[in-house]
Amino acid sequence: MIRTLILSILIYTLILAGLATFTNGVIAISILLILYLASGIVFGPGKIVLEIEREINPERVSPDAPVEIILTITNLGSHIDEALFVDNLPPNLEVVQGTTSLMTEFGENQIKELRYTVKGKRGIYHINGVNVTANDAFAIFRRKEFIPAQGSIFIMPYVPKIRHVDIRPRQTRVYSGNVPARVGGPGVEFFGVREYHWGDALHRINWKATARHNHSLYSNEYEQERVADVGLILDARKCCDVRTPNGTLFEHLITSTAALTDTLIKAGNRVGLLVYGGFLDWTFPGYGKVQRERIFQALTRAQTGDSLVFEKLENLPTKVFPTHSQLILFSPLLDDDIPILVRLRARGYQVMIISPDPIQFQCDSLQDSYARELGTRLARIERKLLFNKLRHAGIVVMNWDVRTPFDQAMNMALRRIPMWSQPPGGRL
Amino acid sequence: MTRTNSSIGSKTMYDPWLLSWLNLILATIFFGIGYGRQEIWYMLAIVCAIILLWIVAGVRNWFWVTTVAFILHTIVAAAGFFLSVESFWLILGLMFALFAWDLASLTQRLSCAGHIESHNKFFALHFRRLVVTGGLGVILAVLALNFNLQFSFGWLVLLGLLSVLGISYAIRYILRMSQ
Repeated sequence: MIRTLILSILIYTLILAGLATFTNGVIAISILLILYLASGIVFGPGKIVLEIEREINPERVSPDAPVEIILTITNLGSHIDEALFVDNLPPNLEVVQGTTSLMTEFGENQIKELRYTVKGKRGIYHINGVNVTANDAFAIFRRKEFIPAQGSIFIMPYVPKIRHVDIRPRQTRVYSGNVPARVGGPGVEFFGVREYHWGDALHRINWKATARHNHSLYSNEYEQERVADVGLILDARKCCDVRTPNGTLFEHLITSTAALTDTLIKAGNRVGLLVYGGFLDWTFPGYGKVQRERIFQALTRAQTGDSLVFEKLENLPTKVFPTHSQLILFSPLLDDDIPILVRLRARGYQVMIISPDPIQFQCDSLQDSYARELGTRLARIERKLLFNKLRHAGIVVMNWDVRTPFDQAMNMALRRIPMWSQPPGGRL
Repeated sequence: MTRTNSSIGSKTMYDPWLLSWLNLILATIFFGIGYGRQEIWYMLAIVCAIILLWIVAGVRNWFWVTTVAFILHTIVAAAGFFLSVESFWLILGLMFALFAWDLASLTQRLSCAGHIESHNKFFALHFRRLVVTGGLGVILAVLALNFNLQFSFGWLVLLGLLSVLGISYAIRYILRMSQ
């Protein structure tokens, strides 16, 4: 546009100067510029009619895995001397191979292909379309158009594999699973001794108890194992997040939530997810692979957020979780969170907290100094007191140093410990 | 100009930025010959100073400086007719100045593109069209200078108005259709 205006001004000036001064040479050199300008009209692009197909391969990946994007562009309009295609990528995607723009001469019914590879961090990335600029060879006549070519890339959270999570909610569901149901019946773990019922297998008879009583037999009873309702609560409050040059603590929360979701759903439990942050993102409880996919999608789009309403955990909508179910909170924890967690416990929920250690996380990004040392010690004491309060209320707390991979930390901390080896007063 | 693009430069046969420099030097030579023969040294100094503008444009990536240089070249060419410089050198000088400006603009456009398909073919087509347009322009300009048609003042004014109106219409058309 600027080029056209400058040429126009020069042509007018030359013609008017030539006419005013009767200098034919000045008018003659304007012919050169007029011809240059005229070529823009003669060879300028017509209406842009393009068909763009986008292929994303694969659409669902783990963080930093390569995703190939192929754009197939067909020119259904007239010939374009100079066409520039720029694919509008979301800013957080990084191009690792190829480029997102292509300049070419584009004939009628020709097909061009733009191919490149991107990678990115966790998130859902929507790509809307391609910006097309078409002009004549001298860029006098220019047309711009946005051609929609939509596609989405799901960069799922990393899912560490965890063998087993030991949960013991007060209430379980009717289907068999691997959560101890606090009810006697067929199972593996010893539950108690009861009077012999007709039909009990001989190997279940407790001969020692029978020997102590005349005229009656006693059988061993085992604890039934069933599936349970598990409510996952992901703390996405901005005030809880710690951001350092090495990353954010929130990403570790996502990783731990994804790992437990995977393990719990594979074990057949009914799992729901509540993302508590700028707003409430509630994934209704369900079973199976579809539910796993729903929760993973919720985790993929989860972001930290600020909200006056959800600044504290006291507005946690507890009614969405079935009574006496297992709740697992993923949070670095704040002092103000204790009362609501204790209240949840009092209402009969079995509460477990997975808490990535924000002190260690922040320490790693700070330089060694006496002040850091002192500050860390004080913060650790405060955190220990916080945990003690929670443990006294019967809440299971796992303090996770994020330098240790979550699967290792989890397998160590939440593995099922036989009753005989558990210390008095519980574990963790 | 921004020349970070891998497609521009040593990997390809044609480098528009180098060619634009070549055309600039040719423009300077032709203007220099024209003004030198008339011994108008201050104009020669202006023509040489324009090269400095191009150096600035190259070093600082200021594309607009090449446009300023082209405007100055056009003024230099027009001034030559008032200073009785031979028209042939002025027309050739302006043609090469136009080529240099166009190629600098092409360099800038190419630098915006990540990948240029069939770069050499693409550039050859552009350059061919530029040469044809420039050559035709020079021929028509020379013809216009050598054909002497006598018009009355009334006809002259009419033709002048028609040409201005015609060009206005063309420019309006371009501006309206361009987005």
